[in-house]
Amino acid sequence: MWDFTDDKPIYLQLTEQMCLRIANGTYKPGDKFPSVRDIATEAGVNPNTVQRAFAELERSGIVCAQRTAGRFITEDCDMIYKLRENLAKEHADNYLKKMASLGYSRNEAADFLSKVKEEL
Amino acid sequence: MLGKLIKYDLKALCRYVLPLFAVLIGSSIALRICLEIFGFEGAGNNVFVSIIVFVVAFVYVISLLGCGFAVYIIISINYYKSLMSDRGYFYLTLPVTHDMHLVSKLLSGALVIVLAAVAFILSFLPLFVGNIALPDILKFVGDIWDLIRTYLLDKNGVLIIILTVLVALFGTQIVIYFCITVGQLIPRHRILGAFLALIGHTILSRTIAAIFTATGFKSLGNLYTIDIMAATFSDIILATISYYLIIYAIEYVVTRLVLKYKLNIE
Amino acid sequence: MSIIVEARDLTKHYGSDIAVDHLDLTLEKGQIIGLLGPNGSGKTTFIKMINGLLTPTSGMILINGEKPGVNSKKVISYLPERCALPDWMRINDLVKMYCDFFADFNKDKARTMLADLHLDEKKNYKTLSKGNREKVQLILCMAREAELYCLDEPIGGVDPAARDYILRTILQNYNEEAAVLISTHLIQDVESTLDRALFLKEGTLVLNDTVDNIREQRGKSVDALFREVFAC
Repeated sequence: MWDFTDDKPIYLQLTEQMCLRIANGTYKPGDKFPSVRDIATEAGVNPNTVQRAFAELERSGIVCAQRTAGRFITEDCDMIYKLRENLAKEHADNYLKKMASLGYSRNEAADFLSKVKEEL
Repeated sequence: MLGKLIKYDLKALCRYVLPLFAVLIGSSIALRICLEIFGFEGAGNNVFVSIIVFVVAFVYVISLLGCGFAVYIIISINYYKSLMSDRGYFYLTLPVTHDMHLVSKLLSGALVIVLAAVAFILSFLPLFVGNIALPDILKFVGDIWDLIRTYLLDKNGVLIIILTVLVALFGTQIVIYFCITVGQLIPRHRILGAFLALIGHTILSRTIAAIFTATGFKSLGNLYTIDIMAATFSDIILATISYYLIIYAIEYVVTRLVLKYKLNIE
Repeated sequence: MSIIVEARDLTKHYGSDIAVDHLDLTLEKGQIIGLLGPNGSGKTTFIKMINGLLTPTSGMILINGEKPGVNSKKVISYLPERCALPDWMRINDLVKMYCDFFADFNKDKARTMLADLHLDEKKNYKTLSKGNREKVQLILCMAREAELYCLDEPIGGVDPAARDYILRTILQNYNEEAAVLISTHLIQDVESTLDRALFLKEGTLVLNDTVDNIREQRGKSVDALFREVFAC
């Protein structure tokens, strides 16, 4: 469920994986955000680290903290859509870089994807 | 807190001490039953019977003799185990002072020693009930009491009795705890250290007591008459016991200091 | 940020052997700190000094500003590396004993955790397997609502499933008024639960930093860094 690598701070990885879940609709717009304690126990992560990740999300506006009611995912669907797009761009960039290392040009890589998308 | 410590120390001691008393009193009862069934003469005639009676009597006598000895061994092992073995990691992190630990050990030990004395006396009952009349026993006790009263129960008598009880109950324990605690200061040679401490204690305490007793005698000058001797006899006993108590007090303090500052549980 | 443990120039000698060498550090409430180092690096000696089981040769160790004593023992919950409980009692007797001695012991929490790990309270502690004995000791330790938890190798002797449960329990127990000090070799397992890592090498503190910083600045996990620092 939660997968952490060794090379980056965990709070950054948490932030990324949470953004992913917001982008793909696991956490829906307007949903109440899970508590620090819940995520900490679920992910096996220090609560202070989780707190830091939450702070990052709040800073970017994806998550809004309402004083008494807790944290909620933004209802700004545009923002979420942009988030999803940005994540998708990262994947695309990754794909193109990897194909370039195999010797494919950008056009060739795009064509290859269209050709192969039926099989995969 | 102290009460709770005592409760658990007693529980730990009773695990071993109660079965011991059960064997003591049980073998006494068994011996009496054997003697009743087979009679004193019958036991001598039949080999099989005499073996049974012998075994039972043996168990009884051994438990009588070993009773006091075994109780002290149990007390010593409990002290060592709870404060100096792995269990020390638990006991010494309880929110109690080192004084409370020592006092708890002393009080629970004293209670067990008293119980041992009671069990010792009780174990004679099955053997003597019905054979020796109660009035005879009471007269016997009364005679001893008169003796004590004549020679010891003068102005110092009560004090002597109280101090003797204290020495019997607590002093012996303090010596043991002192030796064990000081002994563990020598890493890897704890038992040797305990023996050395015991030797040191014996030499020192006997020497000091002897010095004071001798000087006490010397100051009496040329008083040889029995009455005056008897009158001051109890003074001397009192002095001797008091010196031992001072030694025990010093050993208590040393034990506590070593426990607090120099303990090395491994 | 309130400090719960402070070591000032803390030193412990055993004859000529230096176990802890002029240690200067503070532990703050609300943090989970990893005390990491190979065997013989002084971790257990340091923890014993916090618990008043050893007195320093020089320097000071203060808990809530006081030297170790009755007051500090009231608020520290210690899990030693070895089985320290009187083993002739049954588990529910041990629970009762903890209730007797520790005002901050939460009996219900202990019972729940025992049930979660399928430990029968009526069983004699002596008859349990080593792993189960360690679990009982840990449960009793974590069921106290202490200000400082000192855990010496809490997950070393248990199976991976129980390890996860134990780490989850530590996280669930987390509160801002308490600090948790975990001494361990199994750094990979505990790294994500730690705020801060302390590396102890031959009695000296060679690293005192947050896990986040270590990863950010060195681009590697604490586990990887440990293997570098303590390479044989």
